[in-house]
Amino acid sequence: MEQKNKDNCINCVMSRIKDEKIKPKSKWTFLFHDYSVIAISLSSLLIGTISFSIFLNTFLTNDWDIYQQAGQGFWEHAIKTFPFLWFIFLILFAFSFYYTFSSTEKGYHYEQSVIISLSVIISLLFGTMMYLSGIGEKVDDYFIQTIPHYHYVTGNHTCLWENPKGGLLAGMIVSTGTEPITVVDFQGNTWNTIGSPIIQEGVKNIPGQRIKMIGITRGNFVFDIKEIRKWVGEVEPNPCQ
Amino acid sequence: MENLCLDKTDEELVALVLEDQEYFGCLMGRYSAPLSRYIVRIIPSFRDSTEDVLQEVFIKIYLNLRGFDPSLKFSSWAYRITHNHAISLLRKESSRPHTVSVDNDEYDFFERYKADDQISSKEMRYAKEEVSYVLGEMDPKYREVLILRYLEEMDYDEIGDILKKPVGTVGTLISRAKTIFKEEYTKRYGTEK
Repeated sequence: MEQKNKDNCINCVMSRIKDEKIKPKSKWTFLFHDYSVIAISLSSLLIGTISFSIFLNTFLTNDWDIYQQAGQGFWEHAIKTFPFLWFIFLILFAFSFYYTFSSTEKGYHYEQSVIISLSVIISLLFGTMMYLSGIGEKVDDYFIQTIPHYHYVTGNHTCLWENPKGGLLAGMIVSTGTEPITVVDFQGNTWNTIGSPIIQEGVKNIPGQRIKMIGITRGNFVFDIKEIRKWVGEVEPNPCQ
Repeated sequence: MENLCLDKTDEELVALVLEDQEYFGCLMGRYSAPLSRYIVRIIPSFRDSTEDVLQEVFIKIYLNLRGFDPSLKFSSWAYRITHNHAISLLRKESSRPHTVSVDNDEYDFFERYKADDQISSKEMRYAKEEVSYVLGEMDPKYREVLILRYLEEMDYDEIGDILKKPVGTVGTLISRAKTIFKEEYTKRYGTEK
């Protein structure tokens, strides 16, 4: 750039600054931007962590001990009940963390693989801790109660438990009398139950409670219960079709 | 005013500008030549309006002065603003032809390129137009790293600060850019002269 053009350019800019009363943006503008980016970044990390805790809760309570009893193969059961939604959320928010973190003042110094790995490791670590402390289950329960059709995206086991001949039955407690309980299954059949079952923690033996039962069919709508488990989620309409 | 600036660092001048806008003239005096040259290199199709582009860049620098991170070199920060502005113009004007300016007085592109690549040096000064053409044909993300490295003579850290990329990524980009440059050069002009 020639000296004349250079001086001309400088004079033009100085004139514009003065004439248009241009002022440097306030420090707060930049601080607000920086803190917003950091907040979004940390939120992404938190959502990834919660996602993994729900993933773990859903995946580990997938009735792994009875899939063979229900006549399913390992991979069939794993694919049918894999919590894809939460797995996708974990990956999605790891990338969201990468994009926001790399936009911070120092974040761009770190390689993509390092940031994403770090995000996933933190999510796995704290997500496991959240799962162990029961937060994953609580959040999952909250979504089940508040989000309609939640089971369509997280997998549903209704069909698995509509197999009384195979020893698996689910339904709603309608009365608790001298015999253990009376249950109406999801097809509307009333079952009288016998036996002294092991009752999973969290199961409330009260009318209206949905439960899963492992046992043996003893006759016409009589079920000998060996174990009672809590029913989680909605009941899928026409689950085995 | 210019004499008052001589013994001041860029960072000191930034602090002074925030108290007295007249000091901004000092910063512009220091950077108008390198930034205008960089603008022509990165968006050669704007050669005729370099001064207008440079004015816009300086206004942006002035507006964002309080966002300057003192842990960076001011030059890197100024180049980053220039680069972002140039790239946004380039996106809007992608239909214009691109031929990178490689001036006679700074034509050491291949010398530096070869030194960096540890290739035995051969005389290549006459290949100016060829270099310009090949650079102009390259994908901007590869072109810009070659320009910053071999024409602006910046180190990897500075390039990383300007492009907001990690140093390792800068190294990878430069390495790929060189491979692409060689391929494009060979395809068009045969073996390197």
